Amino acid sequence: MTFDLSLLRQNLDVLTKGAIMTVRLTAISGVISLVGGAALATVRSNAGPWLSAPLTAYVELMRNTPLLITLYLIYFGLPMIGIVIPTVTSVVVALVMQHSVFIAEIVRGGFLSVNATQTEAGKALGMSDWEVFRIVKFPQIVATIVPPLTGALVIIMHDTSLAAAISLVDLTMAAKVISQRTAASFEPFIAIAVAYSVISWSIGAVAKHVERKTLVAR
Amino acid sequence: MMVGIPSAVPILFSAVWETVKLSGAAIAGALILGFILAEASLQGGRVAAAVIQIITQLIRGTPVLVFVFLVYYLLPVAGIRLDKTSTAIISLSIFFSVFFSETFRSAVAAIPQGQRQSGLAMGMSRWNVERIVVLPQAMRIALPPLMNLSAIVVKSTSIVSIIGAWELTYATNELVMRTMQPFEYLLAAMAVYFCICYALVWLGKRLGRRLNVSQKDA
Repeated sequence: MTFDLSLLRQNLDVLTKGAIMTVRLTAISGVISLVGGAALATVRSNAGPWLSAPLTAYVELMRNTPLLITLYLIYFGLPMIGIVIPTVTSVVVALVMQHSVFIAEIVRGGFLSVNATQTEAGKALGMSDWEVFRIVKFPQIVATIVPPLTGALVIIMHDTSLAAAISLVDLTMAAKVISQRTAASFEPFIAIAVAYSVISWSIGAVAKHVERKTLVAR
Repeated sequence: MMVGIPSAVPILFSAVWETVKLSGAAIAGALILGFILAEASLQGGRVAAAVIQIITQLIRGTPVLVFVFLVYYLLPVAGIRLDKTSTAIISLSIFFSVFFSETFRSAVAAIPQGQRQSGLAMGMSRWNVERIVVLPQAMRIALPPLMNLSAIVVKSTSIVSIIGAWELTYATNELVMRTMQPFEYLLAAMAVYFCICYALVWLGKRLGRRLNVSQKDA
């Protein structure tokens, strides 16, 4: 068994297309999940019981069911009730539905990491609520949540591979397409495994840099 | 043609049973392999630890779906012919063993070195120190995260439907295609996954609280 590199070179168009789709899905879902997660965390920590109960139910549902089922539910279910969206959008919606929940937990941990006495101290110094948040809390929250957020982003990137289940051409689907075209499955899948790893490690490296920048004294 | 719910019920039941078997086998495999990896990297010297660390990083950089595909296409190349379910069990076991091993490792590392030294000073053999002093305590620490990981394995079994292994997600998808009733079947499958995963996580929390003697003293 030899590794046929020319096979990959001939199919570079599909691989590139797939890689761009994977990065795009990751970036879009990552950003929306971060915003959604932060909103969910804020709402959940300030919600009364009538709002908190359904939110908790949603969080537990998303945490304990496979993403693939959510994806099928969006992809097959929405058209049945008259909502037709592009395949890419269904993947993004499913990813955001699931991952904003995980990110909300991380953000909530960040909120809890700042001691309440600091808020009181800030107010005693005459700072407004907004100033307390911006100057006192925010830098500490960011420093706390950047490392776990990095992990979450890598998981989002890995989960974009499920797009192949509904035939969207991301990296995983690109490998399937090549293996159908050429009857060789070994090379394309090794290639995308390497590609996914490289993207994972790059996210990690960028995060290390950000971590150093956001480092605050405690 | 409409396939009503009655004829679908026995199919779903055997599909649930298949998912339970598949999850059980994958979790057992990952536990055993993970334990071996953890012991090897803790006791096997620097080279073994470095090699295992590299394997861990390689596997963690790859999405589980891509890893399943790799095993699925690599086994025949290596001359091993297996049915899809066995391929699924093997690939999930190997993939998750590195996550289980990290959990074991950090649990063992949490036991103070002094206990090991006092055990040795009392004339216990190295194996007895591990068996009587370290492992029982490490298991208590490891149990809740191990149960969480097990729930993740259960959720991940859904993706082996993509290589065509017959289990709950595959059967559900087939029923959706045949009946064009996505909500009924997908929500039913979601409920099943939810019950299994929620029970695992709940059990982990409970056992962790009950077994954690050191935390009770604190």
